Amino acid sequence: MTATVTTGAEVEAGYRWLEGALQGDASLIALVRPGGDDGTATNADRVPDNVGLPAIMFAYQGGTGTRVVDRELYLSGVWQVKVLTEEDGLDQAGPIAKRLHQVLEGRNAEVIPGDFGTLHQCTRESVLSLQETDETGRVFRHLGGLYRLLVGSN
Amino acid sequence: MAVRRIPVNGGLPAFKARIERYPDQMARLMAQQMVRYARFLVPRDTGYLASTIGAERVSKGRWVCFAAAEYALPVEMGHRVYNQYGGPYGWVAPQPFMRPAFETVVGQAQVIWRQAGDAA
Repeated sequence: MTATVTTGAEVEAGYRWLEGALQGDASLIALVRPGGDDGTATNADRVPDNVGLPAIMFAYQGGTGTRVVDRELYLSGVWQVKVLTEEDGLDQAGPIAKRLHQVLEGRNAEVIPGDFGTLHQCTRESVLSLQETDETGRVFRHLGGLYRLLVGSN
Repeated sequence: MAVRRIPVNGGLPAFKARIERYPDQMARLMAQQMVRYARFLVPRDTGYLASTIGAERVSKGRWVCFAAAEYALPVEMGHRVYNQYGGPYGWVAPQPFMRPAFETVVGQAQVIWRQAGDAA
């Protein structure tokens, strides 16, 4: 089976845009780290074991490239963007996820700082809400969304 | 301008029946491709998760792809892990297999469309 292959640079551009968009919102960071951000409020792919909750995590889930003739135009990819909290409920996760959505939804036509490319559009495809209990009975909440980014690299 | 007439074997009823089969053929082929690709991408340890990936027809022209293992969603989205050997707890990064399969199949819709036309 042949898959549509992207150069990979679009995926990096998507990560860079998300990182910048999330860290650039002071209200969101204040909700996650009320005492001031120590650089652990947002995390790509996974939250390191030594980072306390709540924490925001974003990860690439998959996508396809759109091409014309001999060049790639943009990547249409899905990222999960969510807040992780340790709670049985939504008291802590709810306001953070709401702000997170306000920060991301509908953003478009933005140059990604660092000459990585362009964010053409960001829209939420679906809400993401999971709860898990580990073997010791601790309950964790994942709340956020699956966001589709149309992103082009330079 | 010359008009070319193409005979349809079985007349209009046969043509109508063929057209009506088309969406279902299309959905079936897309679902089968998605299952094949998801099984290719899924992380394997015992192979159980891969064995639970499948597709089924829910109604005419509608197929659903699924991974029935209890831990399929945590693997796809990332999860908390418990270290049974006494080490620290931690988070496992997502290892998506259904979403990339879906995106790839949607990207190949034109090719599958042609296959469905041939098969109908």
